Amino acid sequence: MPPSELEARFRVAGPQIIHETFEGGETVLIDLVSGCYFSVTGGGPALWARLVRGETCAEIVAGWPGADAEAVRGFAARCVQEKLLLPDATLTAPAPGAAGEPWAAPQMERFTDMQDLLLLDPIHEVDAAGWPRAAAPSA
Amino acid sequence: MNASAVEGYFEAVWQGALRGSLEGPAEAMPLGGGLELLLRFTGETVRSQLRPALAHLLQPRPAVAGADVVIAEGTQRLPAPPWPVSAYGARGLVSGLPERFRASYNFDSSVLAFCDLVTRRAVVWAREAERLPVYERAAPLLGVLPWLLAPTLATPEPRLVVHGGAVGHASGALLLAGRGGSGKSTTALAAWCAGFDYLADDYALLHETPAGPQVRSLYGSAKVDEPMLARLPELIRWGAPVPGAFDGPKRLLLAGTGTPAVAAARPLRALVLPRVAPDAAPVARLEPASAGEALRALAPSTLFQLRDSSPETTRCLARLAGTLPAFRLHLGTELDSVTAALRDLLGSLAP
Repeated sequence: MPPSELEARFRVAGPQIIHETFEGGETVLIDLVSGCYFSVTGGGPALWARLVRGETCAEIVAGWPGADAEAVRGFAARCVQEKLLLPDATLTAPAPGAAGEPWAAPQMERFTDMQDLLLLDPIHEVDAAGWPRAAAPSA
Repeated sequence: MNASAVEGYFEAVWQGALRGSLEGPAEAMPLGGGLELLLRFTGETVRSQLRPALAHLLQPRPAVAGADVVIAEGTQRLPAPPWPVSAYGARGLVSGLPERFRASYNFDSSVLAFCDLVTRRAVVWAREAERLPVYERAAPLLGVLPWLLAPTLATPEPRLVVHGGAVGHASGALLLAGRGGSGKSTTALAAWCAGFDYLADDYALLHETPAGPQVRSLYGSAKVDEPMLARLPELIRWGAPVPGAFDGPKRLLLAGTGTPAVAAARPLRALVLPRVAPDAAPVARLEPASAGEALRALAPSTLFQLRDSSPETTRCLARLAGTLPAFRLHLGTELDSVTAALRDLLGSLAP
């Protein structure tokens, strides 16, 4: 993450990102555009929640006893890299949150097995009636 | 895209679909909670190809003149679409339509699915009904069902089509969730052969009722392969081939063959996530799975396979994953142990 983004605030990258957090300590993130989905565990669900409510990495580290600054930055950078979060300069500091859970390193696992369902069909031709058909394979 | 052009095109397609060669009453497909779809087949071939997989659910409605879904065939009465070729996206979904319309065109099966969400009418038009692929014959209307399930004032309860199988007993059912190849069909068919009620092996309807979630059957068909037929020879005796030539993985009709039941609906008790492994132990075993794991097994394949990415769909799946118990099912090589594990699980979950 570039230094300028270390103090950035973030928002969920768009409606194509679905995120659900469960009491058992997992956030599931689904990117409807790329077909990738993610399992976030460890301290990740709490960290994700703080990022999407608009806290900067610095604010998170300052307000979370024992937080590992590199791990926080690394997680935020990964979320940006995976196009799950976007920096948003229009956001302002959120109200202080309730005391959080003890620090734990975030884990993020990425799954790509659904991507083949999103592959575009080959370029299509149009038949005489105006309906598309798969392009004939080239010789 | 010009809204009036699309609206006019839908009306032309709808009227053309109604003018098919086959006349007859509509049939009702119940979807629970008072919601039912009125289906009307207007072509002999498409009726013979698509109706059998739905037949276990259909009920005559001789007095009803209208329809919600018209299933038509042929090319004569189907005008060319007003949208450009560039509008077709992944899986033939047409982009850029006015908000009230949904359309897709399957390049492989030459089937148009077209829906007007406002008037709640849909057309499924098979341009080449005589060569419908087996997946269309085994799971008809799959393209339009998610579009027609949006809650209304009269039927406000959430419903969604999910990528999953389901088996059970009168007291309740288990939803089998996982990506293709995870063992859903093997588990569902082994259970059916062992006396469970069959509801689905690949696609099921979830219905959130005030009394709790229900799982409903959509298709009386199932996917089989040669190894499965060898392990479950009852399938050959009890199942009937889906009409038409086989052109891919085989599908059998399980409903209406006078054999173990294909149930219409059961209360949903738990989510089961089958797993196959090349080095599987002989005996199947169940172990608890987290809500997140259950959602990962259920949501991505449902969202991407059924092209249903509405926020309500995700919320409904998350509610199910968050409230129902979930279990990993490590399939054993002995299918009797799979059904024994499911039987024990259902027994432990009975209300």
